[in-house]
Amino acid sequence: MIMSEDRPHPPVKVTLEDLLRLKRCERPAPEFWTDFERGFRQKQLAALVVRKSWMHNVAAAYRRFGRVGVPVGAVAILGIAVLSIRYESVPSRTISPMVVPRETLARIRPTTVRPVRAVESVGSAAVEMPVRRKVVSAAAPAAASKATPVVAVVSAGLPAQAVDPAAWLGEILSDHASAAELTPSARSIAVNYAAAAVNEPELVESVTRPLGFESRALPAVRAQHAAEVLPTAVAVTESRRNRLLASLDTGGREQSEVVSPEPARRSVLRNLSQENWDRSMGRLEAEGDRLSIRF
Amino acid sequence: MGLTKAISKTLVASPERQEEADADWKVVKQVQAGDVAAFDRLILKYRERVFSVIYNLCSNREDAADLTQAAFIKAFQSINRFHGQASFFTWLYRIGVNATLTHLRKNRLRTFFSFERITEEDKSSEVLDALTDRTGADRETYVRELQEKLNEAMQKLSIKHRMVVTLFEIDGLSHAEIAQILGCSVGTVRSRLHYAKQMLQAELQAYLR
Repeated sequence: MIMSEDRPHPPVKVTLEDLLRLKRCERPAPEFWTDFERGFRQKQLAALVVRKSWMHNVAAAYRRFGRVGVPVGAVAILGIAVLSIRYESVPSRTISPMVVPRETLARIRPTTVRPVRAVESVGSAAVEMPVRRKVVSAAAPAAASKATPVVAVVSAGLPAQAVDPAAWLGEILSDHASAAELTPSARSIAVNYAAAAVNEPELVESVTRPLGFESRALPAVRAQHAAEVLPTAVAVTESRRNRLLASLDTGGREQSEVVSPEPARRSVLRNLSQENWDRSMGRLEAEGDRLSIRF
Repeated sequence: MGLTKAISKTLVASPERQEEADADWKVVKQVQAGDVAAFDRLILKYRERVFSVIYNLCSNREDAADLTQAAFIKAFQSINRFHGQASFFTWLYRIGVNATLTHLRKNRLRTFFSFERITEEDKSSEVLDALTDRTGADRETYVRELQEKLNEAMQKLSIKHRMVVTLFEIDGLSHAEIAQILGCSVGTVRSRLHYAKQMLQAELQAYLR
C-alpha cells in the first residue's frame, strides 16, 4: 500500500490570475488601522472647520441646479444673440435720405440771385463741374423753422431765369422728406448728379452702381427733363479740356523765347484723355449726401 | 470582516448582494437623518476594500491611506446627495476611484513603491509552493521579488487598464459592477481586461507554469 505522502504531488499550474490574486494578500498590519482612524478623525474635523472658497459654492450650486442650468443658460445666450442681431439690423434714423417732397419744393421759389459763394457743398475741391453755382435764398415755407438755401445749378450760357431750380429739384428728387432735412451739399450733389447723368450717363453708372444708388436713382424721364432744361449744356470733359488747351496755346505763342513744351502739351493732352478722366472719376464715391474721392 | 470573506461575498449570487445593499441603504438614511455615528459602521465595513483597491492602483501604502481617508470624508460630506440610485459601495468605490485617478494624473512622473507585506493564506501558499521549493529566508526573499515584479507589471499598464484588472481580478467585482463604477459599457470593460491580461502575461511569463 502506497502511503499518501509517498505519492508524488502533481505539479500545480500557476496562471496569471493566481499571481494577481496574490495581491489580495498584500494587507496592512492591524495597528495600521489605529493610525488610520486617528488620521481620519483629524481630517474630518478639519473638513468641518475649513471655509470653502466662493468658487466651490458656485460649483456646488451649479451641480445642484445642473439639470436646468444648462438649458436656461443656452436660452439666455440665444436670447442675447437674437436681441443683439435685431439691434444691429435696425436702420439708423440719423441718416436722412436725400429726398424732397414735391409739394414742399413747389413752395420754395427763388427770390434773389446772389454772387457765387465758396464751393464747399461737393465735399472735395478735386471735383470741378464746369458750371457756375449760385446760392439762391429760398422763401422757406411758414412751417419751416429755418431758411434753407436752395442750390441752383446754372449752366454757362443759360439765363438764370430759364431755370426753375425748385421745380427741377423737385423733379430730380423723390418726395419723401421735407426740404428742411436736406443739407446744402446734398442739394448740390443732387443737382450735379442730374447734370452728370445727362451728359455722362456711363460715368454716373460706373460711380453709383456698387452702392445700389440706382435703387433711388432718377428715372429716365427725369434725366430727359434735365436734358431738356439744359439743352446747351456743354460736356464736362470737353469744356474743361478745351479751356486748358486754349490756355496752353496762348501761352505758347506769347512766350516765344521759352521753348514750347511740346512734350508737355502732349502730356497734358494725354492726361486729359477720356480714359484718364474716366479713371479719375472712378475714384469718386457717392454716399448719402457725401461725395468722397479715393486717392 | 476579513478581506477574503468580504471579496467572496461579492462573488455570491445577487440576492445576497441585494440584501447587503438594502442594509447599507438603511444606515445611509440614518446618517442623512442626523445620526452621524452611523457612518462609522459604513467605514468599518468598507475601509479595507477601499484601501485595497486604491493601494493596488498606486502601489504606495502611504498614498493609499491618505486617499482612502479623503474618499470617506468626501462620501460623508456628500451623503445627502446619495439617493439610492446605485448601491452604497458602488457609489463609495466611484468616489475612491476618482480621487485616485486625480492623484495619479497629478503625480504621473513621480512613482514611489511602498508595499504591504504579503500575508500568506491557504491558496496563496499553494501558489508560492508551486513557484518555489525554497523555505525560510530564501522563500521570503523570493516572495518579495515576486511582489515587486507584480507591482512593476501593474504600473506599466495605463490607469484605465490597471483599474479594470484591480477591480476584477483582485477585488472580485463583476463586469457590470465595474462598468457602473467606471461609467463605461460592459464591452469596454471586457476589452480593457483582455488587453491588460495580455500585457501582464508577457511581463510575468517567467513566473507562469
